[in-house]
Amino acid sequence: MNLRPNRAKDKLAAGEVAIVVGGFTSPDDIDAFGPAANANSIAGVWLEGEHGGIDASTLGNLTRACDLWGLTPVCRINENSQGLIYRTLDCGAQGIVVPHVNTAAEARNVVDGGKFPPIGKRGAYTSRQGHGVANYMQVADDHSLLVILIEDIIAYQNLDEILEIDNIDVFFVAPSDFAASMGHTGDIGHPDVVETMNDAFRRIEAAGRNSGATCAESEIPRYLGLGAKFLLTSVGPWLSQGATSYMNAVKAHSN
Amino acid sequence: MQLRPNRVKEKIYAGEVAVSVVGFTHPDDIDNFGPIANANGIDAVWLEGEHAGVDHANLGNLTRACDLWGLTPVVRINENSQGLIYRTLDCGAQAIAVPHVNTAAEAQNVVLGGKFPPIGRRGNYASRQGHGVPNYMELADDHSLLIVFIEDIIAYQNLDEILEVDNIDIFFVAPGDFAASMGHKGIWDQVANIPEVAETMEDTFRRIQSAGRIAGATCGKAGLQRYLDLGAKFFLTTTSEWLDEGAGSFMNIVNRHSG
Repeated sequence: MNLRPNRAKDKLAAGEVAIVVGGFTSPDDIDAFGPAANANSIAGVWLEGEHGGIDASTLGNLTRACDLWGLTPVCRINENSQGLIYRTLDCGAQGIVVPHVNTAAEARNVVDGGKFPPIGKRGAYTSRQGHGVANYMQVADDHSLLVILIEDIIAYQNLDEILEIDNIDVFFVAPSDFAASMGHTGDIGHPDVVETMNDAFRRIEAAGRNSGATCAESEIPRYLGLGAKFLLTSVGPWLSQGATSYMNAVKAHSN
Repeated sequence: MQLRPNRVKEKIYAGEVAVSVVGFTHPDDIDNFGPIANANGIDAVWLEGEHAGVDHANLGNLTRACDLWGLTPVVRINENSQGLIYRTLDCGAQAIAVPHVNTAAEAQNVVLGGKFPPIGRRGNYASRQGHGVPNYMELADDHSLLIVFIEDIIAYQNLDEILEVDNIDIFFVAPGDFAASMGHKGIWDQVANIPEVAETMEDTFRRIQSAGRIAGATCGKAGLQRYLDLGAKFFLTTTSEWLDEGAGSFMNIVNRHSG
């Protein structure tokens, strides 16, 4: 059998925008969301392990639910550790997101953990995505997606050297930590923060690399205008909008 | 999208033999076994909830692993309860095995829990196997597989009336409880050879077949010929025999080279 395609990576390779959705913590919820995801061409599910509860013991079940719907499981981990990166891939993730990557050496460490030799130093194992795939070791590197978070002012200062590291698929510019690292904690709309982030997006695009952004519905024009190709959005606002709309209808009909 | 096929159901109604394997308690183990199952034409994973820990909290994860490999998840439950039957289907099972079915009324109760109206009384819900399947309600009954266990001497005495109940796919004749109900307690594959037990079980298989229904059996390699000759079309076997053999063979080599 063939290695399962990586929908997010395939979309980026085709120059299309890949959308991933965060907010799922149970495999059954991913199953329930599957039809809506497919009907709307959503590329992947973001599994939150920098701040949330995703770990090696839950990844198998979560990523199987993603597999059934052709959704790319993208897992954010909470440390730039080679071992953590490849164990997360081995447990079923097709995409890895590493927070707070601030130097070329740190970006290079992500590649070392995420790719097999000769590119990197990923340990060889019968990875969950590799069961039954005879040529897994040959094709795994082409199918894994590596995302690094540019979210500190230091990363911005080192951006040119970071952008020279091969085998990073997405340079994801995240606002909250960016603002905090610039002394504007909680103020992602501060003009200095906005201008610095915008410049980061422009330089990523100018270097011929893909940028990513965390993006509410209202921010889509801004980030697509800045060239972002990989967007993370959350079910939170959808639930909020749905609840508001529903309760408005309840009120309208119960007077 | 279409409802996921039920490989066991398709095979047995095509007149072929379907094989299920028990011994997996974790979804990652099913993933690991998937390529082996597919390479060897194994059809199903038997998830044990009459005696072991399979329940609603873990059925979603276990059955998703089966789905990925096209293996039919067969769940044995531990009570002939309509609610338990349809909740087990809703959580992802494609087949239900109900133990100790001893009368036509008890067999009909399995159908009531396992099929939607007008056939039965299965409650209506967005079942896990139904996500994204617009005509799930129309197709679900054709795809779900119902197995009743004939494993008490009372069931044998009531066999003719039980065999008249429609919508039961497999009448599974299990030796351990069968023998116990006849006064012979012991390990299942040994008591199956006690003449009185063997004769009663064999008559059961013959009557299932002559009624035009499908029989199921549990056995290791050694028992296959016997039950195939008795017309059984559905088999349950266990990984423990394979592990025993593998471990035995491995340790033989270790011993041979370290003596």
